[in-house]
Amino acid sequence: MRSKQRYRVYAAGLAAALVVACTTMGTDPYDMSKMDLKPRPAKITNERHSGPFAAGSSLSMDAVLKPLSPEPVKEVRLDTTHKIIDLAPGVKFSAWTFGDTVPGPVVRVRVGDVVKFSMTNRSDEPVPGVRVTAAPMMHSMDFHAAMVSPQDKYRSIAPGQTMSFEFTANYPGVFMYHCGTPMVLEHIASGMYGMVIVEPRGGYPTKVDREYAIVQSEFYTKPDPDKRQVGGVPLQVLDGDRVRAKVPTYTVFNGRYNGFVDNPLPAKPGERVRLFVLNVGPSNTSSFHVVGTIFDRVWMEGNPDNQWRGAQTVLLGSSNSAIVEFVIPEAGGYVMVDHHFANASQGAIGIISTGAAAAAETEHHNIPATAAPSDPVAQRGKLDFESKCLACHSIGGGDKLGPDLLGVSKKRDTAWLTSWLKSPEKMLASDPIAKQLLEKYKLPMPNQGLSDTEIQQYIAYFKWADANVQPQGKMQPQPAAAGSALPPSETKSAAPIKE
Amino acid sequence: MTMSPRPRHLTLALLWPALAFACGACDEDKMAATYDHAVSQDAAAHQKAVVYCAVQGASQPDRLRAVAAQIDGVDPASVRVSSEPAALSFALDKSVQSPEAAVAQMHKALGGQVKLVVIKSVDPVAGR
Repeated sequence: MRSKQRYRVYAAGLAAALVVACTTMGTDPYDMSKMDLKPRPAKITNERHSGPFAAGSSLSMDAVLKPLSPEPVKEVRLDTTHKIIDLAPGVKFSAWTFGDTVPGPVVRVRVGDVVKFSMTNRSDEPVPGVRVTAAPMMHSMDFHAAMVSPQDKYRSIAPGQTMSFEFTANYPGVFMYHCGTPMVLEHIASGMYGMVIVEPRGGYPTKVDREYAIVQSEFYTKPDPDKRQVGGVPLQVLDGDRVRAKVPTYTVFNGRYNGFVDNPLPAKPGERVRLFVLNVGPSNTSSFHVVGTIFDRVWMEGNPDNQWRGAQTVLLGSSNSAIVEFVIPEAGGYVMVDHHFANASQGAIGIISTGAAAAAETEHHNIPATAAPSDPVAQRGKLDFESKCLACHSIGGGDKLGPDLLGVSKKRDTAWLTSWLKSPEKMLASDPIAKQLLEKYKLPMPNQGLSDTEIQQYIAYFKWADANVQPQGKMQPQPAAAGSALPPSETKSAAPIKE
Repeated sequence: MTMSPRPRHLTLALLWPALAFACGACDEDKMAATYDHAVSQDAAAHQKAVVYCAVQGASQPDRLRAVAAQIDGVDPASVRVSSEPAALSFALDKSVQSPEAAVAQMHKALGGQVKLVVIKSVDPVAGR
């Protein structure tokens, strides 16, 4: 009898297990036959939204993400505006926006949610005072998270018109949205982009303590040809030549040069952090890395089915994304960078910090650069200095491994500097000043193998800096006397666009 | 099985609006390429229509601009030309002639090298 009962229990358990297995084996989250692809025509009207430029429970207005809102139908309103943004200290840029912010608000939904979207083109709305923003123009919306007819949903609308359409989120991921009106390059480069997070239907497989959205983008700026000003500051506008040559003047996180250096994102030791990272370009690639930790999980394109473990860096092309998760091992400032370091030096740098003291050491990756001299010899010296010497020295940024070199051409004559740069090891053996420097800084300066021409260029740069640089803390670039330096848009980069 | 001619023509007629509708984004893109808000505002204030055209064939923007400015009823200061996408727009006094007649006059002046297709005529009284 007992053996018969035991047999029945075993048989029931086996049957239950088989039912569960058959059920899960048949579930395909990417089954196209179960996706909602039903076409629902868009509507264009002449009724204009008023009030806030962005609305909806699924929106987060900055890097700190709100949790997912539970309703299965999400109303999202993102109106387009033209406004002046503070791209960097002293840099007022004429931008075009979704929701009146650059980047636009983050939209957060779940697979299966219906997004009911509407957008009024409010680029013609009056602004206080003299209008210095771009003239009103047509705009549109392109949601990478949607599977819809572009000919119907992504049409351009004129100022005063409202576009409305809806779609169902069918794939999990972190998706870009942007304006698709020609010239698309210009509309994106002017600030018209943002992020849509589509969570998997069952949520994410891990629990985290912090969630932040990071949007990397490039800006291509030049002084306004009409020399307009905003609050006494010269206006910067889109540089059409630079944007076509893919030579930005700024590469930033969340629309602000060094924004997360000035305002670090908080975390505590031992916490698990999840970053939703999107590179919106418009043209360059990002090598996203966080100094001091390793990505325990990387979900490419924001989908947990595309998982890596233990990555140092994530390569993101323009409109690519990833979710990265990592642990904060101990107190400190964990520096987010684009490891294409030319991009980091243009502002693609930020900090996740456990406290104010831990955030102090930023200059390992962000030593202040100075304004560019107009003299081409000194200019060449500056470029060489910044590529070879910034790791150990600064100009006006304080001592590092070696001394701050602001004032060096006044302390040492040209002959001494020439000898030092040519053969530091010989100077260290015989020159008393060189020996004092070694006593103080402990590290001998290595011989850089410089040519005579290179040495002349360095000395020209030091002389220019000593006469003109007026350092102000960590400001980038360190300012110089009026009339002595090139504006940022004319500074030679690694890929100069005009000789 | 082959269709008799009458049902085949009927099928094509039913399909045609859908095919035209499928090209709508291209039309709005061409409108956006030459859209000038100041021109739109001025046209509305003076009861003129703004006519948006697609340009087909090799065109020289300066020549296109010069020809359009000379057409009866066209406000010369309102002419806008785009190379990519190839498009043209202008403000037109419809009491002088219709958009189609204005375009026909342009065709004659351009000598057949370029074809203009009216995408949309935005009439300030009737709305968009």
